Amino acid sequence: MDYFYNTFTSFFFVYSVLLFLSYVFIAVVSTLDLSFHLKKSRYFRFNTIKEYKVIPSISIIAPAFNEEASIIENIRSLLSLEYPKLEVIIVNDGSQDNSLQKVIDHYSLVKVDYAFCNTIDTAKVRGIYKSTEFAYSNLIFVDKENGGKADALNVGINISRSDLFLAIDVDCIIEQDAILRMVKPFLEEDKKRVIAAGGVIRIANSCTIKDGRVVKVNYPNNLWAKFQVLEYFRAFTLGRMAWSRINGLLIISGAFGLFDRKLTLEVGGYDRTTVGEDFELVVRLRKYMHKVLKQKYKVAFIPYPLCWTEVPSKFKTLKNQRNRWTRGSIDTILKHKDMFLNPKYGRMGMISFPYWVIFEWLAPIIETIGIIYFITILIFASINVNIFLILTLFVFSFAVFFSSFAVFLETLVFNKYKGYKFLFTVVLISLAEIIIYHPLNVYFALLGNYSFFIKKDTKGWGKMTRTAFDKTK
Amino acid sequence: MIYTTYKYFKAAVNVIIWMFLTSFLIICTYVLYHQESRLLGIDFINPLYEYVKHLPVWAYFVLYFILFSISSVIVFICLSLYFDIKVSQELNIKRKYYRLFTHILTSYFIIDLYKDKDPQKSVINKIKPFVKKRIQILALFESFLRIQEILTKDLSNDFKLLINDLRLQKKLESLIFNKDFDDKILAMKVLSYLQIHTYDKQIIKYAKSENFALRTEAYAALIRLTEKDELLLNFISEKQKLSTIDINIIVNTVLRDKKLNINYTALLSSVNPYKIIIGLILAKHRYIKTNLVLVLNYIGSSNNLINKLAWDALLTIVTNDECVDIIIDRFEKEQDDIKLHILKKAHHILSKRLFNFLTNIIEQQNLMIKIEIMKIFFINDFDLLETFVNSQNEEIIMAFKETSCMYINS
Repeated sequence: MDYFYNTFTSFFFVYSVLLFLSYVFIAVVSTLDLSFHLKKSRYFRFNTIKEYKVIPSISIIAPAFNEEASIIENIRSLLSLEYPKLEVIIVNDGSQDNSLQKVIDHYSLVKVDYAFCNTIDTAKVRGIYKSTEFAYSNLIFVDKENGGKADALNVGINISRSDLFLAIDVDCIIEQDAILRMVKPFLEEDKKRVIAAGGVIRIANSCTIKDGRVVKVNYPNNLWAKFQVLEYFRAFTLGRMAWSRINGLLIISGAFGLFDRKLTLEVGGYDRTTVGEDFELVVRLRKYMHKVLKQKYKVAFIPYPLCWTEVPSKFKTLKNQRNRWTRGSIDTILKHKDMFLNPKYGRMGMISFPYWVIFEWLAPIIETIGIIYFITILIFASINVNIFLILTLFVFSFAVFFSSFAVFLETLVFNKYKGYKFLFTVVLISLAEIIIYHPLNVYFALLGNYSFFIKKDTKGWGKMTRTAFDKTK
Repeated sequence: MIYTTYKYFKAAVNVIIWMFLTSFLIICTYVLYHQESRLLGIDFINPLYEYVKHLPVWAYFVLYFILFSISSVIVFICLSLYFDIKVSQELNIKRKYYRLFTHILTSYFIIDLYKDKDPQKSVINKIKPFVKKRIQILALFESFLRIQEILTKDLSNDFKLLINDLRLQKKLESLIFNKDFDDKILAMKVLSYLQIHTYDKQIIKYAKSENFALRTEAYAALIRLTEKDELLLNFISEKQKLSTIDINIIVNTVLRDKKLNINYTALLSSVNPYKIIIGLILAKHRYIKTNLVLVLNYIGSSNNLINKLAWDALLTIVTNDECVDIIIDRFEKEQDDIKLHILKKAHHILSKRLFNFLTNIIEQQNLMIKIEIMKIFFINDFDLLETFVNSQNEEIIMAFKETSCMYINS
């Protein structure tokens, strides 16, 4: 009995210490990298990129499924982005609403014989449309049979003729100079090949949006969205920034990521059999660079808020989203399990992939086992109340410390959310997060594991309801 | 000298602050762990001892970290509040000064009236009260840079006069030694536009820096500072690597600064591939025909970018059908992306020989190349295009249909 007790206690202790140290490491590294990024861009005029003689061409690929409410404004917003060699490819993934006809009418589209190779196998393309108006000459609208987001992106990659492609969610709002900022890592790296780049995503719920632009940033009114704002601060400003610094970034959000098109075609495009296609693609691209091309490479991350998206504001939608994220993670991890602690894959195999397995996938499971273990020893043995209180207080204080640090960096560097009201609310939310949001996230993750392993649900997307952003219309 | 003293003084203060903080933490740890302690003749009694005396050492450190976390949260909230106000204020102030200086400087640079002494004095009097703080001085330099980068006119003499009268030269020069590299970048930009050569050695040092942002700006500054065009890129050693952004910035600076007497032979015969790349882009944009033989040497190069740029330069400089022979000779030996590039640049070539060649090879090419060949026929020989309407090759039909669609090729 003592042996089990000691083993369990030591395991949880070591696990917690490692987790704690990883957070401290993330905070330090991301601060250093953020400072470097800010200094290097302070006097750089991103507009001058438009005058460069050697720049890659870019296709924006935006899959759309039942986006009738906002598709017209969203396409307009994409067409107005600044970049000299840009085409916009909207892929209608078999929408059952009226979005196809709406776009045809609004943008004066006609069906054309646009030639393309089916390099990646996809669902059937029903038609490709181009506008009769010169102003929209860089718009390509593709109508295809429903095949899921990954399939729609693959169609876009097949049709694109550009060097790079920007995979986005059609309902996202992209900052005017986002592409100029995103393309910079591809131009400035002289020692490594940049294979993909991601940017910071911010939450658009409750923000004032006009003509496809975020004109006023507001802290959401909805409680779930409030939690997610804080979560995104930590994930993007701290987490991804730090992983990018050590070239260990494994995920680029499906809502906004720039990829090398040729390389993506070589690896076979997005995986249609998973719901975590964004995570899976980055892992596969990195694996390909290690295993096949054997070239030095980098997955870059830009610390600026370049993309605004609507997050779930209903419990059920949030539950479905987190369930899907968990299933996507598990699927990707299991598909690439050979990379785990494999020195052949460098830092990815030895640091970032094991971190993802141990502290992202397994964390909710270990946490739940820990709670059950705690209850068991509470019933069958005695615990040291002082130590218990100290450790609980430590977890609480460190969680709030980490969140307040993320908020501090956000205010110092970007200052998008303004006013003392926001700051006080966000601190209260960070306290409430530990009691309400975090246990729920653990529950959603467990549900995801259950769906994946027991119900064998690896492809279900769940339902995500969205509203049109522009309330001024 | 003053600057160096200041630099060492600042560094010393920094070290002292950190030493003080570290000692404070160590003393706190020590004092709070013991019941009583005596340091520097002062007795300390630990009020928390009763609560912590039964705890293991590690728990004591955890407690200490809890205190640290809680106090940090308070500090972060206060700092966030402070920066929330300060960042907005600074941004507003910066914008205000930036607008003010841009307005005054634009008039000063452009209107002839300011060439006389008295109006010049009035400009100085207008600016003087607003260039006391660092933020104001930086806004002045930034305003100058923005105007200079928009206008093709050389404004260096007028601005030099102005900063001399405002006694800002020393401040500008001190920026180049600043610890923050963004200040160094600003200084290099301004110094190079003003043709101040005092710090050339320092800029050359920055051109070899590991920091690519600093290095790129150093390249641009050195190009602006080079007086003899033929020595333009001498600062790039034969082994030095350049990124795409370096190449673009160098090319744009050369083109913008109207450096005319470039030694293309030196560039195009360099052993450094990056110099060759720059040479090829410049040759293309300046329509340099004298070094065409050197450009031709790089057709078929194993370096894909050099090969592509060589074709680009050749097909831009030679506008008639003189390059048909080389296209026919080389086309099938090139990779698909280069083939596509050649065809995209060959739309203007009106040559029956080329069309016959393309007709013969079209079936073996990939879809994108077929489309590009069709486009050439569409532009130059519509009858030839029509002969493909009944082709048995599925891809040729696809290419034909796309080419003849007015909405795709508008």
